[in-house]
Amino acid sequence: MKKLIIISIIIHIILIVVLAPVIKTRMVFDVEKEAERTAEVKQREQERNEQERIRREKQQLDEKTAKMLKREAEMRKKEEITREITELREKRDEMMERRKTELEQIRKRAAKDILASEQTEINKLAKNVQKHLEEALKKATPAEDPTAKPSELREMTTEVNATMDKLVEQKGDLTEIPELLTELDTAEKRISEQMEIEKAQDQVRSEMDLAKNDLRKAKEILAKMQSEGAKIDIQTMNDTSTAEADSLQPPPSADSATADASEMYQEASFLEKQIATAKADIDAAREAATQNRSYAEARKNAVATVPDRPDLASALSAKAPGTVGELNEFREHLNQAENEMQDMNARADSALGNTARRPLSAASFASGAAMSSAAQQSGKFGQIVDMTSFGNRDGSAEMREESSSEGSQMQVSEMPEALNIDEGKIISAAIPGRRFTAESLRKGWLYLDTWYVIGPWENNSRVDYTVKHPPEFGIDFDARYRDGKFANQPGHPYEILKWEFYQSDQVRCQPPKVFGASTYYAYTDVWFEEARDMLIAVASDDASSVWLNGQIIWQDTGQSAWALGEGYRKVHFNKGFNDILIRIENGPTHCVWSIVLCPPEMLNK
Amino acid sequence: MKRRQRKRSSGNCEVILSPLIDCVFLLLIFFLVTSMIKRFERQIPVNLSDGSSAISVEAEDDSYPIGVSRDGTMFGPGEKNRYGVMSFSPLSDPDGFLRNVLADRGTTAPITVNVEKGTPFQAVIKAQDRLEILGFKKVRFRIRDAALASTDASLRTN
Amino acid sequence: MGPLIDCVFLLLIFFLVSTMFKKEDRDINIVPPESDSAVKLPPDDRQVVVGITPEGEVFWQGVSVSRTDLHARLRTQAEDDPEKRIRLDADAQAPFELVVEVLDLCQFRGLQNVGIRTYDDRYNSK
Repeated sequence: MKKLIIISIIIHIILIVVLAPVIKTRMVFDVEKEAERTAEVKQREQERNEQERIRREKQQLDEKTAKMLKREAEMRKKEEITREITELREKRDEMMERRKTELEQIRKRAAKDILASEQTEINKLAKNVQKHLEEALKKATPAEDPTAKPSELREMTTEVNATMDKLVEQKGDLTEIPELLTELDTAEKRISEQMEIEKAQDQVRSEMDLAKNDLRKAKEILAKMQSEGAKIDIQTMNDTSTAEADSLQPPPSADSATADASEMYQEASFLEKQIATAKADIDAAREAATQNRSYAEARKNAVATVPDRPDLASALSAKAPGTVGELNEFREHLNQAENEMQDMNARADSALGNTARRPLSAASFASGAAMSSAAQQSGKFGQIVDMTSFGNRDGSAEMREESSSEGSQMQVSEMPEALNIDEGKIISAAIPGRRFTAESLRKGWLYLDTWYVIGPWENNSRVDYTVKHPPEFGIDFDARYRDGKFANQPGHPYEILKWEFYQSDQVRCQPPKVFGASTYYAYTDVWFEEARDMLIAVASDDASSVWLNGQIIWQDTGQSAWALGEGYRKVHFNKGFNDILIRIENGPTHCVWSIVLCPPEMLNK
Repeated sequence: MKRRQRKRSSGNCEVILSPLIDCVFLLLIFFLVTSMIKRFERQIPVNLSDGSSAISVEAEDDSYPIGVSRDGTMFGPGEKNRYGVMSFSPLSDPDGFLRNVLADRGTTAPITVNVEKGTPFQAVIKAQDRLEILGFKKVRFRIRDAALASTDASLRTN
Repeated sequence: MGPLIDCVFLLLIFFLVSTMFKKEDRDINIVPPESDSAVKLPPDDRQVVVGITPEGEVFWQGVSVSRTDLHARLRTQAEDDPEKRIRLDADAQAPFELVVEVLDLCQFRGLQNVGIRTYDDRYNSK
């Protein structure tokens, strides 16, 4: 017995010794040789696997098995593919719905909608006239005797007020204009008469003079409305026949019940194209509405981009695979088709999200046009324009109900017309940042320094905002655009355009590589802890357009060098993330832009 | 009778003992192998501080800038030109310089590392190591558009 | 009886060891930078792994993603759980712009818990 125990113990000791390498974590010999040997072994194994794979693929399949396996592979993927395509169909339907409503708006567009911004101007002037006349009346009433009212002045004021009211109430119906013009003439004459009578009182006269000037301006605009209105050919302008999303040819046999993978893929590609075209139709409708253009013209500039997809339809519908290799290829194609369809869905989602912003409604005509014209940068250096009064969150023309907590002290009436600031002082106090909170250890004038930039597109040294490029219709960081400035120079680093990440060291931002006579786009996000109004300083060399959350807030048309205080805009930032897109037009040499957020205290100076 | 008894008892011992020892060894090997598999990763935790800023007329940026060039040299801050572009100068004694900064500002004051474009990641990690070892807790990274030593603020042309 | 127990243990060990190896491989083929100041952390399956190759390709949990996809995923991640640990596996020779792009994006979205993976003899070889 003892002998057996000893033998078993010896056997176990031998086992331990043999297993010692497993217990030890590291071998005590040459690491290099070990690495070499393992590499060799790995390579040999790889080669063997490769050969095995090739042999297996060459294995022939008989027809019946092949068909069965092919059908089995399709069955397995069919569920996912069907799901993707159903989602895609839903999105397409939603997009077409939206398209229908917006095209309806365009078709119902009347002359008065096109002239809506002029109407807003006239209303403003009419209110001014009334205000001035009220002032005049107040000044004419002698302080010592508040009960004595100058009767003639009062009478004239009432008459003119009545005319002004009528002016405001007229809905832009062109047939009423001649009558209004004569009434305005009479009103002007009455004011002049009254001014003669009140020769002595200078203050009263000056107020009445202001009123007369405003009235004259209103008359001019009204006359312009009349002449322009006569020129508008509303039928041609509202002709939406170029909206082609509903006239695209669907592929044959789009019946889902019996469709196989290849037909489904074809249908998916068609759906993608239809969604993109519908989006372009919608974009053109909005463009036509806000820029007062004919639909056909706007549609010409709208771009429907569809990414290049591999032609899987033919690959998937091929005859039954002959070898195992072909069968594996078929399975690969199925996977690829599913991935492509997932991507199509993702793009459709973003297209829907894009068009959900600021839908076209009856009220958009006035506010859109007014906003675009307000965004224009006049020649005045340092001009401040308040863009928050346009109710920019959903395009409605009503004023925003709630005023944000911060920045509400920037009352419209207290805002100066222009601001002149010391550029050097600001630059020394400017720090980069994209997240803004009310209180922070870091503070100062904040400039946006981190951008995604794409370009250059050709602009022939002319500033023409009607020529639009793909980034204006949707931001896609993986897009590769082949219509750039150097598209026909193979081998040029900018032959194919893609978005590049860029961080600037200073307030002035420039594209990574500057080319003359080019258009660049730059995109960034900013984050605000709370919704607030903010004054921003936009400057560019040469001309630029700025969109905040899809809404245009700045458009500069002159070729000018960079100057920090070029112009200011008071804009509303939503709580959370806001996105900013800039289109910069470059002329001769430099291309610079900057966006600086200004502290509200600047307005009080 | 005696022999049979002895055989039986020795047979009992044989049957029970060695498999039990086998089990013990198997358990030993099992635990050793599994403890080998349980690994640790090595990570550098990056303190991405909040990075929010407030807006005011007077500027207060508490971040201290240093630079790292393409070959890994560390640069210290120099003058800012009139457009706000800072120029850097190479440090001959980075550790000494950084210790001074540390003594001045403490470990919690943030440092911004401006890295030249095209710098390999390894070089930046080496710089970050240096800062970490000296005790800086808040390190931020930025890309430097122009060359670090450039004092020229002229804009790019074609 | 004894040999049967042996067999049982053997089978047990075999299955345990093989299932431990079936973890989802979120590593990509890069060589992380070396660092002396790295801390040793136990492997955490919950962390999100973002990989960056020197050519600029970005990987999310081992799967190659496009930039738009990366932005979208970081956005959803920030909404779901801003405290989630993000591990950045960047190649040592990757140009730093690529890393800054991802770091800046994380910081901007509010994802502050980021770690950079460094070289470890056990898994990496130069």
